[in-house]
Amino acid sequence: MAYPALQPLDTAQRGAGPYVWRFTLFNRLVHGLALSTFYILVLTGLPLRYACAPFASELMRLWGGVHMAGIIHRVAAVVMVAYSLVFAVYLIVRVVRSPNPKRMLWGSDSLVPHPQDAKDFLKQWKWYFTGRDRPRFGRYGYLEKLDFFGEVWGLVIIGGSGIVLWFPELFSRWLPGWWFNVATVFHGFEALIAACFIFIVHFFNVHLRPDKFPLDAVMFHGRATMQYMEEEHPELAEELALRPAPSREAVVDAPAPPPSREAVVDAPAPPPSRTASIVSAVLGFIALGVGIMCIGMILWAVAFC
Amino acid sequence: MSSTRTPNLVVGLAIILCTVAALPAVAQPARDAQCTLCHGELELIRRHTTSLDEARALVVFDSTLRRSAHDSLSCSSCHTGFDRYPHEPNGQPGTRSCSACHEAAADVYARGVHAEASVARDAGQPARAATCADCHGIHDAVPIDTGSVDARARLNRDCVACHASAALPPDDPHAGAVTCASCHAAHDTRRVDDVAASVAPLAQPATCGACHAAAADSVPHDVHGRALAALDPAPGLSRLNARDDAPPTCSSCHSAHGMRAPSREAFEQQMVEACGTCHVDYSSTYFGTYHGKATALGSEIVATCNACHGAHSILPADEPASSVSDAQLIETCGACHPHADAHFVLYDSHPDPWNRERNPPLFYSFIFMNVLLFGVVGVFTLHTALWWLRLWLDRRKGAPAHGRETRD
Repeated sequence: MAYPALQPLDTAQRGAGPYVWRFTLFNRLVHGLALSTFYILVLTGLPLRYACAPFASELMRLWGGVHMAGIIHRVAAVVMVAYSLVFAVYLIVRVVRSPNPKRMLWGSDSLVPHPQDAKDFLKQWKWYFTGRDRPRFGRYGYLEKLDFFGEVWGLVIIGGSGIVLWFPELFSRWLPGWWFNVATVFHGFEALIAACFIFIVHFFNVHLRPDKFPLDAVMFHGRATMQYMEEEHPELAEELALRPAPSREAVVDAPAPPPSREAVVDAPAPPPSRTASIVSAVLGFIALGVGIMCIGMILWAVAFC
Repeated sequence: MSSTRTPNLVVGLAIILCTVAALPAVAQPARDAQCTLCHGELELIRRHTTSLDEARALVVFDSTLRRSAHDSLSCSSCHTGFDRYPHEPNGQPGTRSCSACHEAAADVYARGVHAEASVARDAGQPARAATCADCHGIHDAVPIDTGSVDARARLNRDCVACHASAALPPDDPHAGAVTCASCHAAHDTRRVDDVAASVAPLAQPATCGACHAAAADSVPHDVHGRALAALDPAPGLSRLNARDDAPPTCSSCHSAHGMRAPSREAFEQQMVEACGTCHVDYSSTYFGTYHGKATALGSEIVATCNACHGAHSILPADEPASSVSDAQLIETCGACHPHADAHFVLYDSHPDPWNRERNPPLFYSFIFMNVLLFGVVGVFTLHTALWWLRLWLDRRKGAPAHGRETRD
């Protein structure tokens, strides 16, 4: 068998063909930090918001009490704000250093929402009903952009209201006290929206929809097959095929040029080692499992409270 | 001066000493020697009775009587009709009731629940009732001593002999500190639901106030005390606490047997529940705040009802003396939030997001966030569900999973 044994589980390794790098090590580390801090924030905040839920007291006890959970919540929040700021600087540097900054800001490499995203969104709904003309995405489809800006929006709203609630005596110098009531509503609701969005949009789009089920570990080992790219990001795959890089045909016709060991986006990649596949799958399933557990707890709490 | 005073002092002391020394002789029990001749000898009595227990009941040792308060009485003071030997075979042994001497106590006892039960018992009903002897003893009756923990424990043992479930648990702050009679009255003991009971809701401020004067004094001035005073006493006073509009009295908040010390955090937690039984809206809005949620999760440092409203001097917010009045709110919040200012105290501690009048910014942000939540969740749940349906339909039709070919 030419493919690693975990290939059937990891949709990023589907089919034949050479691999390309999709995410750098830095991208993946930030994503790892994002998901771990997000889960810590959810699991420390959820039992407070739904203090009436049957699991709330027990979960708080596991954290070491409501005040220890509060400290952990704040530490995770500070880490999240810190890596977000680092990532913002990284994005600015990427744009400035790019040989083609305009392409980074407004083009197929850009995360900035385009009119094309709105068209793709409508096209997607049309495809649901007609079964024809499924939208073709480039490097980032509208769902990836929603994931990204959902986090930015969530960070601003939840982080902003969170810091007001963290230092009420300080902020009451400028804000009348009823802002703390408003901040509580914004903090709790936006957190709920974020958690629901992660499950309904991110988990389904990335892992759980039938053509990707059960796991897409691209964000863990950083690479994907060309078949994956052609099916999930066809516009980008077409562009890559035009570049002097190995395509599927190239593999058949001639030995491929040596793949890059270092994760350089779009560069040819070696297949993930068996260890990398196993670690990625384990981490991926743990993350997915914790997320499903979180959404289960939210539903349980909503049903109970 | 001192030279003339010394002899007087010596003479005075001598007189007192002689009197004390002579007392036993003066107060020599007028006990009939004939009685103790037989009733002081267990073995003798045993020969005339069928069982040892019966014999024991008929024997009174002189040493017992000497220690009792009735040491100076003769046997016939209480036991009349035994002036012959052998005693009248069919004569009812006349035992004078305690009321012959202790009239006042007996009158009060006659109004209480124990007398009621003893009447029922005498009428042949299956009732158990404490009589004088059950608590005071017979030949060993001594003046009531409440001066030590042991003495109080001895007294309570008599009550607990029948009222076993009423015994105070050891961590009850009253355990060892009071006797049952401290609250329930010794002779005028009544059922808890009796209007005239010393522990009836309306009587509690006086009963508990006997020791807790400061708390009892402030109660009439606070909202609960006012409501108590304004209460129409006609209907259902005996079941005051069962009435929906009944204002709380001492035991409503502090409970009675097995109470917690108010200094303990557990008590404040218990109070949040207790206040909430009447103040339902304030309770639910409190539990919507960080204060309420953290308290529900076991925090012992965030604000509870008492922390802001006080305990025995609770007043409506529109009275300047109230701890939650505009004038005092900064100080009240400042107890935990040292830098609280006029801005800070505009926080709504009982926010009701549905109440536009009370807190418009809260209302509108709540509506906005709900629209956002249901909008996002609704649109994307549909987005996901239809996506799944599309892929499922395609798969059933045998179409390629990724639709790549359909584009070609």
